Amino acid sequence: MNSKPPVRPPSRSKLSVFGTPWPLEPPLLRIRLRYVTARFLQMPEPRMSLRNTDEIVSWAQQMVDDGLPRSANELLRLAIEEDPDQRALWLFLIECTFRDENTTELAELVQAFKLQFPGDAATADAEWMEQALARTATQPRDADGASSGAWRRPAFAARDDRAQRAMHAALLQAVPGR
Amino acid sequence: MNSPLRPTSAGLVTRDEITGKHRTLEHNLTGYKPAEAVNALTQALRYFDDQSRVDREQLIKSNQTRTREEQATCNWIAERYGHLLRLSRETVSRNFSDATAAADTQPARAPSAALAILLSGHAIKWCRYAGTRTDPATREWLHQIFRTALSFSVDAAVIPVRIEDRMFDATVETLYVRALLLDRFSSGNLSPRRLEILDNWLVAWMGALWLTREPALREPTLGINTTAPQRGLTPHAPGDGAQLFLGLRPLQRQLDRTIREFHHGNIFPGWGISISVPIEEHVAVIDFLEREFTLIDIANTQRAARGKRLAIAANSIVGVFFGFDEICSMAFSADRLHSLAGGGAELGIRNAIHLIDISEGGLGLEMVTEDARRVNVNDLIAVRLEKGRPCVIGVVVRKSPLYSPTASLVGVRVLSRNPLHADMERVDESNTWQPAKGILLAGAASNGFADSVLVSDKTYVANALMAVTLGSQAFEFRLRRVRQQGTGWRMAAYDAVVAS
Repeated sequence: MNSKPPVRPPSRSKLSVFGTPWPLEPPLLRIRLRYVTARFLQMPEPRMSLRNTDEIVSWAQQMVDDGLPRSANELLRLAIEEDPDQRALWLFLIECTFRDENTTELAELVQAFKLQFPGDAATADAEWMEQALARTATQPRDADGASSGAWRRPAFAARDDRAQRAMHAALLQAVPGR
Repeated sequence: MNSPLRPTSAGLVTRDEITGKHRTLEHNLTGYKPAEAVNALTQALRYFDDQSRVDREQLIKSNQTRTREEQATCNWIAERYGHLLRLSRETVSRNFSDATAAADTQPARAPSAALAILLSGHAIKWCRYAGTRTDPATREWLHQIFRTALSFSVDAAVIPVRIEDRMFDATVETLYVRALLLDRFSSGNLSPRRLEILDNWLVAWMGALWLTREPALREPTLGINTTAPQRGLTPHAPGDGAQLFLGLRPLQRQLDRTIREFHHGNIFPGWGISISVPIEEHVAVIDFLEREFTLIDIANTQRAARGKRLAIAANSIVGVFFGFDEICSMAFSADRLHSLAGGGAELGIRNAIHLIDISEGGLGLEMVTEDARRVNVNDLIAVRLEKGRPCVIGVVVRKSPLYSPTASLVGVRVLSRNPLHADMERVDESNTWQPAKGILLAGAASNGFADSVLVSDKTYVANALMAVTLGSQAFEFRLRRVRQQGTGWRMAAYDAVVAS
């Protein structure tokens, strides 16, 4: 679990880590927080929840499972904006963007990741994904992208991918008239 | 009805006075030169917008259940926009009728087409608010006016247009795209409030939405067949006869732009009636659009997978079952599979239910109002659309009066078109297996993590272990988070833990 204090001091910068405007004035910040609360119902207190890396990873994964990758992407961005030191969220976001084949956004993300975590071991994998999408990669790698060992997708307890896949296949076969 | 509209800067005006002004305009219109007719209609629309603004605002902000007075106002506004639309179509015909017309007619061609298309959008929206069917000719006219504007090369001329007290630079093409998108999205289950928010967004997005003559490469695209009056914007498939295309990506980029504005603390677009609507409603429109975009995105894959689909006649009677228990006991029964009758006995529903509207993600049912009173938002519902086919499972998302005082529209959001009813077992508190009913809903993801199970609220216990046999295979799974719920039912994600 996060050991950081629940709410960081208000940002003095007018731009987020992604270079987008950050609402400093209280009325604007209030609208932002009301929006986040309405959009992500699991977060009644968004400024605390957005700093809880484990929870955000879990919710983002559930959104991907629920067929809402864009919502997952948005949640990850909001959390990173709130606390850019959440490295696991950067990796998750980069991977989601890679899977979504969004070349421009991935290039911007990898650039921002390198600025946030200079010399990080996962940079090589992030750069490979960027090159793979741009069709300029020269080294073949695993289809899932990362292979260096520095890339650690968060683990999800109690998930059996094989059993889930098998049950899904059996369900499709059993549906009448499909 | 002749109740006064609320006082405005122009004073107290009655509905009859406004209707009378429009009739007088209709009578005098033939005496005007074509260009003057466009100006007169533009002025009439501006006057009507100003006079009806308070009522429109109140109707849009009102709850889903309207009073008779509110419904009458709604019908009247829809009728007025419809009347102005008919008049504007006539001016289009006059302005374009002669290619060698006098020089003073030509500058009015683009404004006349723009006005008619703008009014088409308004009419589509307000028919939806009033719960009436859009005139079938509206879309045909819409296509025809745009084809005419194209052939006279006035589709891209920039024209100032007034919407909600604000002036916008628009073209015939951007207004056409706005009207088509309103037409497509209003056939779903959006409430008036949300449709108004969406319209404000579409107006703000107009400048960035362009039609192309070729579909986007390797990208989902909506196609328009301007010669097919029964079709508006539909996911493009090769051979569907579409001549014009609208990429999904530009739409998604505009939605992203809208979301970013909320991140920055701004209510997008910052004007219009919808600005004072709670943020939750804006978020609901984002959810709706994301679902719609996903449906468009996967439309071609689904089309290839499901094979030929039987056409459903408008107004056809369908079999409808209400509530988890009735659905489990009757909707999947082999005895009833070949019948479209029945259902609703537990609620006391007596009259036949008609299907009046269907889209990829939702459907509209026409019910006798007395029966509709027994149905509530968030009720689970199963609808048999075709004999011999499984029921579609959905959830009631809205109810509104229809054109007749005895008829009501029940809007349903589809949860699954291929549900599987199965006998299951659940481990109870004493650690013994107990029989339980459940309905499995396959999700779109091949890894199975998008699949869900529908169970009764009594059966649902977070993380409870359940078992089911599918074909010759037995599976155990744990109930996880609730994705959706209503009275008596829960739709939960699950994690398979054993496959044998």
